[in-house]
Amino acid sequence: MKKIAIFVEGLTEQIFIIKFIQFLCRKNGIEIKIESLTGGAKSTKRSIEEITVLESVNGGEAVEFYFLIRNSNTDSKVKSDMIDGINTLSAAGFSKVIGLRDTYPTPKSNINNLIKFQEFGFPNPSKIPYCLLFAVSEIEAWFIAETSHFTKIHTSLNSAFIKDNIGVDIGDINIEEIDHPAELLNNIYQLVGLAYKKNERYFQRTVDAMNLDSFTNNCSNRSKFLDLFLAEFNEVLA
Amino acid sequence: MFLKSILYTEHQGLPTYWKLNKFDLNLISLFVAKNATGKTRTLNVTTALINLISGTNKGLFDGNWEAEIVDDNDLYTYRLDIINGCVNQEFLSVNNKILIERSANVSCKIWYEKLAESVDTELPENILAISRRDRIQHPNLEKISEWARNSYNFIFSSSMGREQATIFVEGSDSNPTSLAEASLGSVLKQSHALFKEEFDLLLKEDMSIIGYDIDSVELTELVGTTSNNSSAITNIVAIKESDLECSTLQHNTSNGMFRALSLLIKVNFLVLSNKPSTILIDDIGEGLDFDRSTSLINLIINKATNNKFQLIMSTNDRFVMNEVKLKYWNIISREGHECDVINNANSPKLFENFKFTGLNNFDFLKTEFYKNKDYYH
Repeated sequence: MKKIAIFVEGLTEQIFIIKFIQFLCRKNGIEIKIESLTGGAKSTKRSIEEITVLESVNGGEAVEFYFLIRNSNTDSKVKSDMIDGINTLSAAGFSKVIGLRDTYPTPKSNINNLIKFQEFGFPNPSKIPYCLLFAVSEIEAWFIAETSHFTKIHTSLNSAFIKDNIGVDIGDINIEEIDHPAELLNNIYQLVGLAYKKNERYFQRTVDAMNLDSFTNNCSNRSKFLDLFLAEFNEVLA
Repeated sequence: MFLKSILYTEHQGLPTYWKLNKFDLNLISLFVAKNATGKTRTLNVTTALINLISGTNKGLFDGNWEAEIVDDNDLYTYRLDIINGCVNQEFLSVNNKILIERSANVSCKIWYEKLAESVDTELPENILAISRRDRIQHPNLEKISEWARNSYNFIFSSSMGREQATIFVEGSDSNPTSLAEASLGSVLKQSHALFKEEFDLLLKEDMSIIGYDIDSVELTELVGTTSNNSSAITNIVAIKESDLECSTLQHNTSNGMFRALSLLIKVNFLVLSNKPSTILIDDIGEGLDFDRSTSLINLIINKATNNKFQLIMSTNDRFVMNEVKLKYWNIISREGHECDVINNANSPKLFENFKFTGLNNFDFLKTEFYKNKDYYH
């Protein structure tokens, strides 16, 4: 059994990564454990507040992949939580630690600096491999890249309709140039009287509507950071 | 009025040589450092200079200070060199106008405002010229002196006066001359006399903010004490907590609560007096639980910001460091006998770069991010 820990910055990333893992490992036996971290700013240390276990969701006889998803509940603690946990995870038999966070609120002009200091602070040498992945601005940019999901949200939301009404060609736009992807997503949904809000129900609806086969195979050219994300998971699950 | 910069040297040429290189201070500063780097010593030499100016120090300690003090648009430059307890050199200027010029074995020249000239003056070698009191002839010295008298170093890891009673003698003036010399009881008595309910209300609100609900803080006679002076009364502080039916005497309160109370009584006295001051707090929050510690720090920072007094704090606590914004940080780095202070004013790119690491504030210190010269560009 391969054990992989994934640190995410919030509920949107948590919901997305669960769905994504379940898709990638649809032919494997997997187990997913979700931990929610709190504290550190208002209490003396980070603690696990909530644990959920999704057992062998894809029904294999044997669990081939064990995923621990730790929700840091803030973008500013994903890396610290990874660093704090890496030795313990190594001792517990994990073979990889992955982090996923948005680049917001760092301005796009400074994303190169996030990359420059990506490795800083991790143990050197590290007992197990790690990587910190970024979604430019917000992960909702990746949801926009999977254009087929819009018509599943509402049949009227095809590319032409969206372009005619708000002037955005969702099939062609450089998703790394979108300043506020969640806001654009909301603006598109509102064309048919729906909304995208920072709320679990809305995250789940959008992620459930995504065609992850298309997302995995057709969207890597929409963002180099998305390409890195997809490549990382391909390698981990190989 | 606030301390803009300081440079300190002692025992030059000797094995005990120590130097704090010149650095700029902000209105709010938090000193952090690895252990045995010079954090407390930095606050101590700053306090020593303030106490020398205010006259709180009864003797002169050897050392060499260079300081800049800002008062609105006026920039004071003060240099003081003390050797073997005697003034070797003393210099004060305001906006390049020389107010004091003094060297060992040479007469001291002091600017007289009404005469509009510098006058040769002879002073005992263990007396600072800056400590002269004369509002008419030396109004600038008086301003600096008032600032120094109202400035104070709270050592938060100490008892903060918990074991001290205050003796009031009937008919004598109990008003404190400087905050450093004042007992908590005398400050409390004067605060009640000057500000009455306003002081009580502010103290209650502040204590509530940091998680201590109190109804009142009063002076009460310490029963069982005797004195040769029949008109002397020994007082201690009694705190009425909201959930208790009786008052708790100061020696029975928790260390953490008393430290916070002691700090707030003196700080609120300064705030309501509207007096210029520099407040130093070594080991802020020590002895308090995390929530109270961070609440106290935020409260004091807000008071300093709103009331324009200078706040210089130090801490070893990683959780306090994580709470205090990096723009307030001053990291002390020691190479041999010399210390440098690294802050946002002298190393803005370093602080900007650290934000991109995605780490907690404490990691700035823990990882020694400031030691990599590449990160300064």
